[in-house]
Amino acid sequence: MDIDTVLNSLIQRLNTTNSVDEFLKLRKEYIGPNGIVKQHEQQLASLPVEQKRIIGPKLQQLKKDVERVIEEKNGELHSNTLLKRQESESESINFSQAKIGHYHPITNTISMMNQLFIEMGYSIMNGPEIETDTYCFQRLNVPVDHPARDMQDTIYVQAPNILLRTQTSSIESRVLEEFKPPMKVICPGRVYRNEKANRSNHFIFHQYQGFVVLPHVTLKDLFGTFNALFKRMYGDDVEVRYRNKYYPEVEPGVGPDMKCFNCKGTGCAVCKNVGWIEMGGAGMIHPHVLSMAGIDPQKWMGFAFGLGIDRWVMAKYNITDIRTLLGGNVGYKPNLYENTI
Amino acid sequence: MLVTNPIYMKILYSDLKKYIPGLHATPEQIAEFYTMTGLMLDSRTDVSYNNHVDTLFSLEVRQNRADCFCVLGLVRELAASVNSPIQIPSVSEITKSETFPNITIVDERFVRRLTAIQINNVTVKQSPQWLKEYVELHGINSINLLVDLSNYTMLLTGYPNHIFDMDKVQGSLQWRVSSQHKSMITLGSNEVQLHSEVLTIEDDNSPLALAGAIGGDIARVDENTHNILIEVGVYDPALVMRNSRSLSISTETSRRLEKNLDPHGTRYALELLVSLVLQECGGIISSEVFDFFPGEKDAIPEIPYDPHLAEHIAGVPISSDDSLGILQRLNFTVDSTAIPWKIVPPTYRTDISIAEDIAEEVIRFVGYNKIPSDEIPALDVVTNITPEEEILVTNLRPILISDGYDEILSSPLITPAQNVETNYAKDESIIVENAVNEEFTALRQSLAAGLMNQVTNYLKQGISTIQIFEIGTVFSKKGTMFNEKLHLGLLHFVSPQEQQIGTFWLHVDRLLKHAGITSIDLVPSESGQRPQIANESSCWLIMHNEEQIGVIYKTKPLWKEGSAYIAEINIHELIKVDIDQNNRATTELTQRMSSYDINIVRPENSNTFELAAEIETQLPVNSLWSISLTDRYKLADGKQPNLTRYTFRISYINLAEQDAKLLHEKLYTVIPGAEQGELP
Ligand SMILES: [Zn+2]
Repeated sequence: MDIDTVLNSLIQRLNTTNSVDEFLKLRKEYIGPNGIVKQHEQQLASLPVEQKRIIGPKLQQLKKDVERVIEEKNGELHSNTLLKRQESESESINFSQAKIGHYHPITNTISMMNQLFIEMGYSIMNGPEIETDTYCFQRLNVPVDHPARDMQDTIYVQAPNILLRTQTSSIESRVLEEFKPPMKVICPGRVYRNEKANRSNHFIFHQYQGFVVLPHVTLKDLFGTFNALFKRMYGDDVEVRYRNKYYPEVEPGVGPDMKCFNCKGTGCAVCKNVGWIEMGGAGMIHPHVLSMAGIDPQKWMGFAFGLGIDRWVMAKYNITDIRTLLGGNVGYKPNLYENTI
Repeated sequence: MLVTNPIYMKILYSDLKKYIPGLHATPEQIAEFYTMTGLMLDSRTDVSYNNHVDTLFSLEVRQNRADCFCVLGLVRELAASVNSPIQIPSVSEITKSETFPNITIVDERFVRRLTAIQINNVTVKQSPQWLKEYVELHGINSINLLVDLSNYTMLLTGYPNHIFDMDKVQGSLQWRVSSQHKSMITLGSNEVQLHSEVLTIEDDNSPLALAGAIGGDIARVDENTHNILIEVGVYDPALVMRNSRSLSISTETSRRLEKNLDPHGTRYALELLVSLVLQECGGIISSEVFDFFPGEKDAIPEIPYDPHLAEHIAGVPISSDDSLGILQRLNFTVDSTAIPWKIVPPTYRTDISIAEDIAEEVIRFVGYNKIPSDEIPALDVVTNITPEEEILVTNLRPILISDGYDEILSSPLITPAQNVETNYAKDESIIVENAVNEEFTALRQSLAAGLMNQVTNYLKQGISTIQIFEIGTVFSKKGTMFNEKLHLGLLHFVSPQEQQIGTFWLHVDRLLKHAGITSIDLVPSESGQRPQIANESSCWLIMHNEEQIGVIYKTKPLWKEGSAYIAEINIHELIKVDIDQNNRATTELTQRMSSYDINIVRPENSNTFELAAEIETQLPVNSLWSISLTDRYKLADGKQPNLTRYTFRISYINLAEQDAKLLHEKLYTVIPGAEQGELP
């Protein structure tokens, strides 16, 4: 580089530099141990005496100028960062507060759903996790030898009659028996399944059950309720379809699917290439389920639905390992300005 | 809703076109049709079959549709939708014969139908290419011509069958439960231990097959087989299911026979297989058809059906004509001359027994997509039955969150040792019989184990600011009674130099007060009342009216980084506590507030909250505005070196100044160590 252009090019480059990293690189390039100034000094040594006399002082001046502009820039950058830090400190003082805790993502999702159903006049009920075969299966139209039953899937406290509930419908069978219709009820809860835990399956998961028993309700009411729920959880653009599906406790049965949030229906790994994601089960409460609970199916009708919550939560919070949700490494990021006083 | 393991049935596009000659639907339309009417598409793949490009659908079959675990069943469903006749494979008539196969059904009650026939002089060649490809596309290995034809017939009709090599059978074939034999070698050379409830097919010497599950090794057919017996049977589905589970044998056969399969279709399956064998393997029929069918004469019950039921359930208009058309396409016999209609479903629809089942048929063929879903229903207003406990939990959570606690959920299954360490009640632990993980077999008696696991996890990740809570069920038993309680567990992790339990209690107390619970006491624990992990000198029982509702303690130093404060409260007990609504109520102010101080001399490090509570109990709730500690002075007069003077300022409301003063002065006489404070 010509000695006369060194300073101008440096100034130009410094003017466009705003980051400390870039500045440090430039400084090294110009006044580092193998920098441009050093190179000129080395070249000077090999020049004839006459030229040394002309270029020597020029180089001296250049060196001083280069160091000066670099120092100026350094100061400017330094005060900028300082200023920024002060700004951020004053913000953090304004915003700082004691630590605020967090809801567990599962509870948070349940609360959001509850909110909607409370607005629609539903009661929230719960029931025992240790259940009897009667309430968990038989009262839901799954007699002992029903093919949908898989004994291997159940965790027993005392086989064959006392078990950990495999579905929140067990709460439904208890509420149906204990309370008189009309009723509108939701019952979120934890259920168990005898399955080895891995990234995508756990022996503990969470269901959101709901049911109504009224003199007259219809599939249209069920679909409308579902749509309201999906819109509350996923926004107005959500697309849901309803297809026929079998569950012993309902007749007719319904499988609600949501258009895949990942591929918007074109097919991807999340939806196993079908464009839709199964969201659970629903249907009109089977007349046998009502009559077993002492409710006259000639006078009352009902609909019921059950959703798995864990997968919704995983999708929403970008959690890839279901075990994270239960006593695993679920981490709660603190608020940004936490504890900064 | 019950989550069950799905079961699938595969079907080729070319089969659909073959058996429904008028079919013009594309694979996309077919997939959509099946999915929407109850047989969800699992996958659709392009395959090569019989030198043509074909499409193979895999459908998830409803558990109650025994008739759909076969090609012809799926064909019937689609044909009803496109309203096109089907053409099923024809069978040649079986010639009459004098002799019957040598069969004895020992335990008749488990056999709903059994058909069998003998064919002699067959030749077992290689299977033709199309047959090999066919069974393999449907997920079954090609074995030899006879076995492949047997499986082909099962795939087509849904009826499992079995072929015996009669030259390997000794004497008669007997269908029986309670075999005399201890074990049997199945196809694939596995030894199965028989028990008293297994349905077997045996000859005079040995068990030859597990009926409804799998054939045996002894009388299996192979390339040298010449004389065969073919049987097609339908058994008690419950017995088939119990056998399959107790023997851990789940086969294409058992999966079909544990459903409620229609015995009427058995004969066609037998005739189809016979026709195929004669055609592909040669041979001559050498027996009459054995046909045991005790339920043959049973009438299929007529179902009364109000044609308005479908629209009553769906909530959209569905005409009687539409209903009638759909039911007829589904081969239901409908007598629509009067209301209610009298309907007889086809025998293979064993899933149809009540009017609602019929309504579902109508609605699913009308199409669920015809029912609008964008209207929020205006359902009747009903009584709210939400239990108090649920409301309390809903109130507690946000208070904990605002106090800085993160919510966790932990597994209720823990190790028995963790129960021993954390339990503070005098009840027994519950051990589940078939735990998923042999380490975590106990249902938690306390939430502390889960909270502590989270601490260990967090410390491993370098996170040491830990304030967490969990609201969840704990389990115990007393004798044969199983108990569940809803608990709140709270944990604050502290380094050795941080905090005191008093500060932690303050959090807990404030939480309870926010929720309207005021009359809570702490009493020091005695041995036997403490969890093992608690520090002996820092453990109190949380009491209400002599009843323990929880425990609060500092843990022993379990982590090198510090200890944890844990509080655990039984929410069921909490709701028995009278929730003090006044505590949160607004008050009408009628008089100017007046404030006076009181000094109380007590030992150093007295609990100031207890002191404040002592004052509070002496004052009428309606007159008290606040009590606050304004000064703490260590008395150093040499005589009583360990005493401290605590100064509280008490503000009175709705009292004339004189009355407030009188009330205040009364405190000097009733509170030990009290003396007059300065007037502000
Ligand atoms: Zn997708």
